[in-house]
Amino acid sequence: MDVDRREFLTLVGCSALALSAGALLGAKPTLSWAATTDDLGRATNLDTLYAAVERIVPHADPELKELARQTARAIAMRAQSDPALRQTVEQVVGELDERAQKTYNRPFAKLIAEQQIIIMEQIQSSRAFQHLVNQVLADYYDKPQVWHALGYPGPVNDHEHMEGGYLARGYDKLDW
Amino acid sequence: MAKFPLDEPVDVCVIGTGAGGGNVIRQLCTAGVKVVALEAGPRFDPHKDFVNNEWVMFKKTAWLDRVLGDGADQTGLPIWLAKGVGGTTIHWAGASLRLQAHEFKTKTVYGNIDGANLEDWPLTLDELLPYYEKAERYMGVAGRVQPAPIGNTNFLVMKKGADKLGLDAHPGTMAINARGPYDGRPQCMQCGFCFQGCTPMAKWSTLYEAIPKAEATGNLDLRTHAMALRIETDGSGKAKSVIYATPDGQHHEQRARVVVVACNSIQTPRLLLNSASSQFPHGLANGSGQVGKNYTRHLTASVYAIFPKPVHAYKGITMMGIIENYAGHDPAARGFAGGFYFETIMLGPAFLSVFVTPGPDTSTADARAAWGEPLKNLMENYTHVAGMWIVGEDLPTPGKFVSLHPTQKDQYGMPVPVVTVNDHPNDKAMRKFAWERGRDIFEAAGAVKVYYTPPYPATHNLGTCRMGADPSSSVVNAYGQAHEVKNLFIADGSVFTTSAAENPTLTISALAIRQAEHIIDKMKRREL
Repeated sequence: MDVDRREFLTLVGCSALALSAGALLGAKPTLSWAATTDDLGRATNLDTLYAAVERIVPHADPELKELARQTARAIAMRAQSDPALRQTVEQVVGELDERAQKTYNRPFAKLIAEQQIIIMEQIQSSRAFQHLVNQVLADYYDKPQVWHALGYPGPVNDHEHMEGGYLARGYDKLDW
Repeated sequence: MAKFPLDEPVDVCVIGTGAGGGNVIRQLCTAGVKVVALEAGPRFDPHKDFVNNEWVMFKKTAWLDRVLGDGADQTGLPIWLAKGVGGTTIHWAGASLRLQAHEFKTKTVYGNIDGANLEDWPLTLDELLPYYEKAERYMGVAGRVQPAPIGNTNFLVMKKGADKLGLDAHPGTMAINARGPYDGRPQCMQCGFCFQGCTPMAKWSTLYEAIPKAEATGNLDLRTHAMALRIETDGSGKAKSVIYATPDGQHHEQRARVVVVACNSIQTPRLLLNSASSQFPHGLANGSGQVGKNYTRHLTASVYAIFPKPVHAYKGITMMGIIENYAGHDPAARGFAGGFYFETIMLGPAFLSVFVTPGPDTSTADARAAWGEPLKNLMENYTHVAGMWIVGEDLPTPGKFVSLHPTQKDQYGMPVPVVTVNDHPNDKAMRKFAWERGRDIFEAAGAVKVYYTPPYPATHNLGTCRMGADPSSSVVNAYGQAHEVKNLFIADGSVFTTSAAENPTLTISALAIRQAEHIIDKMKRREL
């Protein structure tokens, strides 16, 4: 898969240009770091949530990593007004920290990636963890910056996007 | 467009404006019949309201009123239907296949299968053929009445594998203006957003084909945001009126000579069951006890694969390619009854990430979502992914049905529907076989990694008011006319006696056109 990786990195290099395309993100609530930290309370360590989200969508590119943090912030923010999500986040984060302390004597966020994965695998079948994964994916892979990094152009032919379909831009040729 | 007085009776009240309701409405209105159509959802403007975004359009057009799942079914979202003028013809992919002759006679052809409640349809392919032809003309089916599509790259990958295995992959018959304009609608631009609502209106929908034609006659009063709650009957046991709610919380009564129910296979049985009365204690038209029973949804599953070189499968008509080699009934060779198709499919990154290896929020309770390296590997190869959907016949059993929740109510105070699904062993055997053949096809095309994807939330909801010759074991006759209530008709997929393997919209449309002609004929002769 080396070829894929090279192509992927090339695409990622180009994607910074697409950062302004976040029409969708514009509709989401503005994120406030401090408010999020305060309101989630001591039981929920935001660093733990960041680390968990980063392991769920572990793309290596720095821009994609930052977008993962945006997703974590968005989920923390939404958890303030969504009791079910709040319970999910608190349960997963609490469980990860407790197990990290017990096994490695450190908070989850301070573990190396390999250790974090081991801890996450221990709780991956729980309904709360699965729900968190669903929420992370639904937010993260809905970001135009992520699409462009993955090589997906996104919308092409609606009232806000006038590129048009692929009829005259190639849809019916496979070069292999 | 007409506006009839709210307190006056009308010739026909049609509930629902999708493939079933839309076709009935067009036929009735163009024949001079006055129709009030009740549509639970809004009316979208494709140019303004449809956008190329999966989650935005899901939230905008999906039926999100509560529908509960039970049995071994999807936990988060049992069904995926659209709410709005056009119904699920907003969301559908356009695949327009005729049923095969033997699929009208599964009880006879498949024989006795333990745990399956098979019946023969009360009509044959030959009887339906003229209506298939009419439907294909209205819908503009490419490959039937206009030139067939040219395959996209997703199709070319399918074909590469199929060719190596001696299978026949070809562009399918699609109700999409694939090669040029048709019926005043433009050519498909190959955007790849068929499921999100077709912005150029090149993919057929009743929203911009049947409904405007009906409105142009002056015989249609289409009321949106009108949720049907009950059908009332008169002393003679005939349908008298439809009680519906509007967003202001008011209830209204629309009287009609004939009532046509076309609310889809979840909401239609729900409405009939909620219309129980002293005269019809088990629900309207439910003397047989079969309303809500014999639910089928096609076995469905998908195969996705990563290839060493780019595919860009998101471009072009989503469901363009088809393999029909497994559509027949060949139990001796395969170990299960009935057949299935492979049809090309692709999702955007947003849906691919949650549906290819889904967790319990978007699949069954035991499903576990991919995360970490396996997810990263799939998503970083997004441009190298090809996909095929498996659509096959699933068997009606006592373990698949739609019922009313005993206590939970929706925003109108109406009991919430519960969809119970437990696969028959035949369904599981077919899915396993199809996954493996799909893997063979993609590996023959050079796949480096293959995914067996479980069913998505059900889009092909069928069979909950099955048609049959015997009133003791079916709800409606071959015209969709209720055995017990002669001026009550059902025009959606719930009348399917068995599911057959084919995408159902064309058959729903053909049956609806046939039904409408029957209603017109009976009304002329004052028999309705």
